[in-house]
Amino acid sequence: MPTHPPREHSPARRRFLQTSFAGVLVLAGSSLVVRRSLADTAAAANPYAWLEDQDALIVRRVAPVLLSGALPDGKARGEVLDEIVYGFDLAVSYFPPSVRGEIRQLFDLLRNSITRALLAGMFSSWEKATPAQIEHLLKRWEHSRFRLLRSAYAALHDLVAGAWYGNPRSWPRIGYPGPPVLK
Amino acid sequence: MSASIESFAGRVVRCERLREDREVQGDVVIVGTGAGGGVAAEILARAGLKVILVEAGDFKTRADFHMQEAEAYPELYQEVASRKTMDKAITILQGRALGGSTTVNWTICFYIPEPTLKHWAGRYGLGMFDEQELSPWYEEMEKRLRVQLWTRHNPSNLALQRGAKKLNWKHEIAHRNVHNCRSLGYCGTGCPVDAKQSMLITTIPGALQKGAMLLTRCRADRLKWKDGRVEMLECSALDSKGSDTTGVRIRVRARHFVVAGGGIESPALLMRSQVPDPSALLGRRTFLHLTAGSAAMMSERIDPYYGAPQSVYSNEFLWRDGVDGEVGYKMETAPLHPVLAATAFKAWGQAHAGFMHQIPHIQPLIALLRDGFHEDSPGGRVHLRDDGTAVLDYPITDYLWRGARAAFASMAELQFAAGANKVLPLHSDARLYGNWKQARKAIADLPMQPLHAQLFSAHVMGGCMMGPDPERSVVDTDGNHHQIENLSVIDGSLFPTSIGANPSMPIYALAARQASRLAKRIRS
Repeated sequence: MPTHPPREHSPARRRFLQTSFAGVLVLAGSSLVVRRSLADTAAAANPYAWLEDQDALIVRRVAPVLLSGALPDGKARGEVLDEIVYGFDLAVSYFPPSVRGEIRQLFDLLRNSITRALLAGMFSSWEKATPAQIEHLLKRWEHSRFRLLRSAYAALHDLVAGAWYGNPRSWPRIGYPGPPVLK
Repeated sequence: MSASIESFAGRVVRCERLREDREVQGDVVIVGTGAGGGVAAEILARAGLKVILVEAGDFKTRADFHMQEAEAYPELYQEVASRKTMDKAITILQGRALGGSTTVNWTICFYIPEPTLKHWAGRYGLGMFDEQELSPWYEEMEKRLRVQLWTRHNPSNLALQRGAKKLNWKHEIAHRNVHNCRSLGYCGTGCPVDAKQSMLITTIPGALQKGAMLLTRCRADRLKWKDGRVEMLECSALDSKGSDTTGVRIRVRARHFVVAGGGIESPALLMRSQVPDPSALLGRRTFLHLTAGSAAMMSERIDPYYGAPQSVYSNEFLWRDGVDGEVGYKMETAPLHPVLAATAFKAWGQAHAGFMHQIPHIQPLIALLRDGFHEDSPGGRVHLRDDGTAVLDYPITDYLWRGARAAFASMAELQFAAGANKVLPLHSDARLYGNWKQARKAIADLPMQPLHAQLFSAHVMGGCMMGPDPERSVVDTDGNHHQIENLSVIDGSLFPTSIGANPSMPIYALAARQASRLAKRIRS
C-alpha cells in the first residue's frame, strides 16, 4: 500500500490530535460532547442498542467503500448493509462504558461539520457524501501521521470489517466453508 | 473426573438476575476463575474450605459455544476481543469468561523455560522455583488437565515444521490440554465438545462439587481492609452483556481473599482498594509477549481455521542472543478465522477484499517477543480510568521494535522456505512480497511505529510481582501479600518477567503450589 504525503498541520492542531477526540471537539467549539453524554442514557426510539440514526447513516455510507469488492450487488446489498450496521451496533453495545465513550466521540467528530471538514477533509453532509469523498477520508486516516486518526481508522475498520466477516453471508465469497457440522 | 457444571446450577448465582443487594460469606473468596483462580478454587475446596468464586464473565457451558466469532468475541473476551493498550498500538486478546482465558485459549502447554528460571533466581531471588520444586506441580496439573503430546498437525503447523526443517532451525511439537479432541479448530470461540480441559469443565465443577459457590456477572470493585486485614470484598452486579452495572451490590465476607483476575485486573483491584504499595511495583512491570504476525499465501489449501491451532513451534530465536541480550521470540502458528483475519489486516477496499479472498490459502505465523528480561524492556503500567476501570500503558521501546523487525524477517524467511508464493507482514506500510530477498530488503525499511506495525498480545503477565523482599515485590513467593495478612494473588500477575512461552501451564502449576500451601496456612 502506498503511503500518502502528510499534510501541513498547525502546532495547535497537532497538540490536540495527540490528546483525544474530546480535545479535538473542544478545539472545534463543539457542544456535541455534552449533549451526547445525556443522550447516551436516554432510550432512543431507533432500532439499535447504541447507535443513533445519524451514526447508523455514517456506518451505512462508510461500509460499502471500506468493503468495496466484498459486498454483493443488487437487492442483497441493502440487506447486507442493514446487517453490518446491526453487527457494528451489537459489538459497540458490549464495550465497557469507557470504550463506548471513545466511539461516541469518534461519531461526534464525524457528525460535526467543522471537525469533519478539518480532520476528514469532508465538506459535505453524510447524506450527500460521495464514495470518492469517503475514500479520501479512509486514505487520509489510514496513513495519517497522527496516532489519534490512525486509531480512529482502525476502530472504524475493525468494527465494519468485523461486522461483515462475522456474518455467514460473507463466507461463500471468501471460500470459508464455515464451522464444521457437529454430529 | 468431575460432573459437568450444569449439575451444580443451585450453587451458581447469576448476578445479572439479582434485583436486591446480597451478602455472602465463606472461608475464601477467589476473584477470577481462569488459570489461577480456577486451579486454586478446586484445591481450596477439596481442603474443606468454603470457597466463593467471583467472576465478571457470564455463565456459559458448551451448549453456548457455536464456533461463531460474532458471538464469542463479545461474550467471552475483554472488550469484544479488541482490548487495546492506552495508545491503541497493541490489541490484547484476553478472556472474560467463566474459566477466564482458559475457556478461549488455544491449549498449548509449556513449562517455564530453564533460562527464565535462572534469570528469576539470579535477578529476583526466586531460586526456590527450580525444576525439582516445580515438577510435582506440573505432573499434578498435567494429569488433572489431561495434557498430551499432539501429533495430528494441521497444514498450517506442517508448514511451520517444513520451513524450519528446510532452514535447519529448531522446531518441536507441543503438548495440549485436551481429551478426545476432534481437531475442529475452534478453541478460540469456546470448545463446543468439551474436549478442551479448560477450568470450565475441570476445576470449576470440581470446586462446586466440594461445596463452592459461584457468582457470575459479578464485578469485584474493591477490598475493604483495616489494620492489615481485608474484611470484605465489594462487588457490583453486571447486566447480561457484562457492559454496565445493574445497581445491585454484592458484599462478600471471608477469612481469606485471593485475587486471580490476571495481569491487568488483579493489580487494578488492588489499586482501587488502595492497599499499601511500599515497593511501588503494584501495576508495574506488566508484560505481554508482544506479538507480530505474518501471512503467507500458499498454493495449496491451508484452511487455517481448521485443526488444532498450535502444535508445532520454533525456539530458534528465543534465546539466541542470551537471556538478557536482544529480545528473543518464539515462533508459532495462529488460527485464522474470518473476523480475526479481517481485523488483523488493516487495509480497506479492493486490497482488503483480495486478502480475504485468499483466506483458505493463508498460512499465519506469529512471533512472541519475550519481554521483561532486559532493562530496555520494563513492561507496561496499569492505570485506573476515572471510572475505576483499568487500562494498560505499554510504551514500545526501541529495543522491542528491533525485535519486532527481526521477527517480521524471520517469519517471512520461514514462510518462503515452507513454499509461500507471497508473504505479507502485518504492517500497514508493508505489501505482498514475492520472494525472501525482496521481503528482507523491504522489512529492513519498514517504519517500526505504533499503529503501523499491527501488534497483539494473548498473554498478560506481571503487575503484582512476587519476591522474597517486600521492598522489591508486591507479594511473597507463595503469592501472599507482603503487607495485608489475609490477601493473596494467584495468577500470571506474579511473574517478574514474561515467561518466554505460552503461560497457561506455568500459571496452573504455580497456582497449584500456592493454593496447596495456602490451604494449609488457612486451616492451621
